[in-house]
Amino acid sequence: MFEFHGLLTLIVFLPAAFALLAALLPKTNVKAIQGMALVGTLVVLAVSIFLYAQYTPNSPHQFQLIDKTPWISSLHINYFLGMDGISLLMVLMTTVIFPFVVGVSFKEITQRTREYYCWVLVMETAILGVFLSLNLVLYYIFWEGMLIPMYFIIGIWGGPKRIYATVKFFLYTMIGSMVMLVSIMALYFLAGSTTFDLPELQKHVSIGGMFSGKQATDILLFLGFFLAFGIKAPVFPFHSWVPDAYAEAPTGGTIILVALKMGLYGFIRFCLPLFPFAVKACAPVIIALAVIGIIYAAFVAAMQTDLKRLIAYSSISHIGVIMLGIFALTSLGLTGAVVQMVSHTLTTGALFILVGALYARRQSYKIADYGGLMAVMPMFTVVFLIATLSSVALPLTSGFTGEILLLMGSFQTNPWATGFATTAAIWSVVYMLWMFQRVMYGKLDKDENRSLPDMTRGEKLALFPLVLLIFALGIYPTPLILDKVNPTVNTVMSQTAPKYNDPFAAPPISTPKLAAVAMQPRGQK
Amino acid sequence: MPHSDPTLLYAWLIPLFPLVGFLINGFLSPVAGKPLPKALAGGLATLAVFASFAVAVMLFLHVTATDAVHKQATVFLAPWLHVPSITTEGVHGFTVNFEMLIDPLSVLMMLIITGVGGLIHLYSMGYMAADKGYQRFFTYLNLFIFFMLLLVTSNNLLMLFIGWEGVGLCSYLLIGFFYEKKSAGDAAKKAFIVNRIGDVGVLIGMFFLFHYFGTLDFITGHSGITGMTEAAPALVAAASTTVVTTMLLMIFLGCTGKSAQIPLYTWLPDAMEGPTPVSALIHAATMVTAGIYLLSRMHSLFILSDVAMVTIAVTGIATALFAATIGLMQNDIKRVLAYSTVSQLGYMFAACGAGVFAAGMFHVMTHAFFKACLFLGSGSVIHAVEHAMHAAHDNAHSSAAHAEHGDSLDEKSSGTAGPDPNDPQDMRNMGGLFSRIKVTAVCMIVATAAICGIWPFAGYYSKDEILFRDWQTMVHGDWLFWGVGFFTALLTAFYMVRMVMKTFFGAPRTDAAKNAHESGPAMLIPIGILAVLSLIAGWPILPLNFDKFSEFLAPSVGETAISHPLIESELGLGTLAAIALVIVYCIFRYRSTKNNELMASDARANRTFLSPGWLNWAILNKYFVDEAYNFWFVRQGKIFSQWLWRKFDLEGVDGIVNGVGALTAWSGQRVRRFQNGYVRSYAFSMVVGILLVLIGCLVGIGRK
Repeated sequence: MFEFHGLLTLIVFLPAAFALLAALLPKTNVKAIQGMALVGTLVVLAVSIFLYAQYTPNSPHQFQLIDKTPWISSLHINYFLGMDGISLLMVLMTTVIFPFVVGVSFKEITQRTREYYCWVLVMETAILGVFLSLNLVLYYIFWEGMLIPMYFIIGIWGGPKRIYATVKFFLYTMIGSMVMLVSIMALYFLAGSTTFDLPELQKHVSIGGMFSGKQATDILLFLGFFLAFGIKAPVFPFHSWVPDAYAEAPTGGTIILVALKMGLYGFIRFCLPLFPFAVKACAPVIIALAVIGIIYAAFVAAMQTDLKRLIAYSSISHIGVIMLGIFALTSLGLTGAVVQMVSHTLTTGALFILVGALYARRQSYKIADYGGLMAVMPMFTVVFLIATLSSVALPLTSGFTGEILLLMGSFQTNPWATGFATTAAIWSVVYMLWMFQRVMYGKLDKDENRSLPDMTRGEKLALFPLVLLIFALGIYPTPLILDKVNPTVNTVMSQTAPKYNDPFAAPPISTPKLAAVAMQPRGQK
Repeated sequence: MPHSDPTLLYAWLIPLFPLVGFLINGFLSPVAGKPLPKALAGGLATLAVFASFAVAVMLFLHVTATDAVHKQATVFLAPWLHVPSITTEGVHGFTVNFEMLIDPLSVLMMLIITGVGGLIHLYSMGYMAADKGYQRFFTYLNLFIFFMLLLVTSNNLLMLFIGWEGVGLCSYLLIGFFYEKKSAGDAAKKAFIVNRIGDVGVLIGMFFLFHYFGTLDFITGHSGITGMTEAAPALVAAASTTVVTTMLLMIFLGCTGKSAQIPLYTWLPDAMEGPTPVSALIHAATMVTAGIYLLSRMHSLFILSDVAMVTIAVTGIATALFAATIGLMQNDIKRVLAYSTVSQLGYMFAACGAGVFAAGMFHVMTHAFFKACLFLGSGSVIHAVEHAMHAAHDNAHSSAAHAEHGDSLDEKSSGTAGPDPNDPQDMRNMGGLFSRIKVTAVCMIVATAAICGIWPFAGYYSKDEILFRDWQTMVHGDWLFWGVGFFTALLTAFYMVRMVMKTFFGAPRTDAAKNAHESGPAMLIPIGILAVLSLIAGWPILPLNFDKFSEFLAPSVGETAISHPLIESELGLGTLAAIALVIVYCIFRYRSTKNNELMASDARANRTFLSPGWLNWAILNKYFVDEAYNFWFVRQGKIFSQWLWRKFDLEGVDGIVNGVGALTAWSGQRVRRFQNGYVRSYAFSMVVGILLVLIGCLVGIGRK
């Protein structure tokens, strides 16, 4: 029962500790506060790199470095943290992006700086907690806890329509989490009021047959989780908080929102293992929503006149692709989805940093205010192009690695949906390159733009590492992440896939004859 | 018998050299703060490509020396993507390696790309000498060559796809090279998007192929799974005809995008917005041949579906005719060549569709020689006219002159208006250039003879072979197919001779044409070399004849096509005679008309039904295909998207959300005595409350 490595507890609460330290600094000493926040996020990053090194992919235990101790024994609530390949990547992604969140805020946040950085650090604790909790109650506390810092970050430091955006974001998310709470409680009672631990519940489902004969309950509880995760992800048609929240949040806040992959993560961590039947039953509808979302958001993105909103809609489109990968229920698709989650954070994060840098120069997000910037900002243009290309999934960027695995996998079970989803390759080029053309190409015809400086040292510091990561994941993904994540994905799939009955048992296009011919191994496996 | 050959690891140097050139010019020197001096930057880039050429020659010698059963070898470098399979799903594991396939086909393509590409680099050093974006240009060129080499050397479809998309990116960058011009930006974007439409086809084709073969390797390599070109015959047993046809047509869609065939050809004429060496690079040596290459590489799959093969053949021959008719009326010298490229590519597809992949590839090679020669020659002509124009305008500062390269007005494409006197690409501003730029003129005439298919120039051997093959395969069907090919050959002769006549002969029509002078040796040497190749490639007495060629390619494309005896073929003679007749007629007509126009402008305006004016009007406007695409896809798409955003998203989806919010606020006001009615404060206090209660209770209970 008691197992405590301490490393995960350390990484989860380190940011909060730094928030406390920052709160103790005098309000006027902005430099020190900024420094503290940056050091804090960097230390957390260092710890997570240590975690990455510690993780052994092919261990017989799915969860490693477990911190588990009884918390409230009478209700069977444990303090339970654990990590597998998927949460490892999520943690790494979060800790990588947070120093950038802090860095881009140095210039942008000029009021109430101490509060801001404290909330950012608290936010990091909440996110890491969500990714590492294996007890549903603990998970829920972190999940809800995340709302508070985000509420303040958008509500205080946001753009002109920040209050509207905050309320919308808040209400949307909260409705979802209320329903999820009900589902969590129901799971507890169904499992005989014995446990909130995810692995235990999973055993109740797979071995104990918790839902046997209760398929309606199964689906209802699944929908409870689905609403919470679907809103957060966001899945069409629950997306309408995203453009407002992304556009109104300060750059740092927007990047946090981009890195908030807990909706998608929740699908993989909780829905697939706990509700295999319901997932299978609802998959066609979810996939339909995903595909509609992909194309719909892409079309709407093309019409945007505001850079941040354009990227926000492009994000919704990309999330649809990831949803397809998850609910296609193949290990290839799921692997691709996880990679794409990381890639999307890096790429879209970089795009928002770039757009934030433009805003810092011109105080405008309007596409029409730019044009011809390539003449004055050549290096900036190159980096912007690289982020754009990763966003449209050009090979050798991280975006391609994720998308090709994902679509290749989802095609095996859902050829038609994947066929439609693949057209995103066209739409994304339409809206991204059109935007790129309007901002970077053309004549430099606005006087205000004539003397814009090229990349500053700080911007180089922020963007070059991201560019490097984008290429690293594009060119050399196998040892970097695929090998880490594959065994976990297979475990998750084996928890979900054997529950299949007929419609999904075999891929829709039957292969046996050819497989026999084509799969003959030669030499090595 | 495919085998892995680690001793060929040096083959990776071929893409590596241009990559290093790209990195030095594109990243190291800007990051270090100062771009390299022009001569060094250009020299480095050129040297990189010629170094690759040298290695390609080594590979060629190696491949010719190996015995017949070992012609295909793979060279493994590193894993790229690896996701092992799990047994419960019936879905294969997915493995893609960075692995080269060295065989006659890939070596041939490497030689063409690095050889012709190297000459184009050399030429660019002269052509771009005064441009302010010189270093940027060579960065792009090297990157282009790198991706193209990846494309042709890859042993699997996904790595090929890196190059496939990569050259698309480079063409985007190169076409948009003069980024300040809106037309350049538009053309670049169009090229990328149209290519992406094709790429979606390739992607879906790949998904199918992976589904059936469990691999994307062409031949068995490091992964150990039987390659798909080898396992192809088994596909017939495993998949229905419909599925096989669908997947092949999807891949073919990609080929039409990259190789500019109907319906995705429209990007290529617009690509003329780029500097001239770019046109040569895109058209002749590299990007547009990628589609033919892919068909040849996967020929063992394509021959499984008759529907796919016929579609390829019909698309090819239809494009050949269609583009040739548009080429008849163009006034921009580069656009004539652009449409002629589309047309010639159509021939290559027709050959592939008829099952003679070797003939298609032979035409790829000869076309690379004569079309590159023509494009570079046209660059030299433009250069000459442009300089004279600027000199005439007392505006002879050469850097200013060069910044204007490729500058042109929009009306040019419509062609109905008179020529813009400042457009150096408009043939109506030329005439009589032969005596002024003799070297360029002679080379271009040689290349023109080659493209027309005149004996003994290179085009005769390649195009005649295709026509003959079309005749052979179609002889017991209807001979329409051959007839169209034959007719197109006549049209080709017509518009090419028209171009030569309007450019080089007659009286000079502008002062600029009178004062034009020849370009420097950096530009003339590549043109000369290409002209010689356009002359001699295919001569039976030389080793580069078609018999040897198809014998060399046989291990890759599967069959040995023996060419028909040269002059004995009545068909060949007949074709030749007809082409010659057209040329003579053309020369005669042009000499006898005053302004070198075949039709008076008032005749064009006459658009009664079935009158030649009507047809002229349609051709002059390129059959309104661009306009139709713009209307149906771009404009309607925008209207739909606007509706989707403004009406559906903002009023519909968001309207419901806001409505719910308003409802809550309204009901809140009804019970105002207890509450302040602000939803956000409810919500917020609720969350804080929940958390406090949860934590508080739990901690409390925990203490018990």
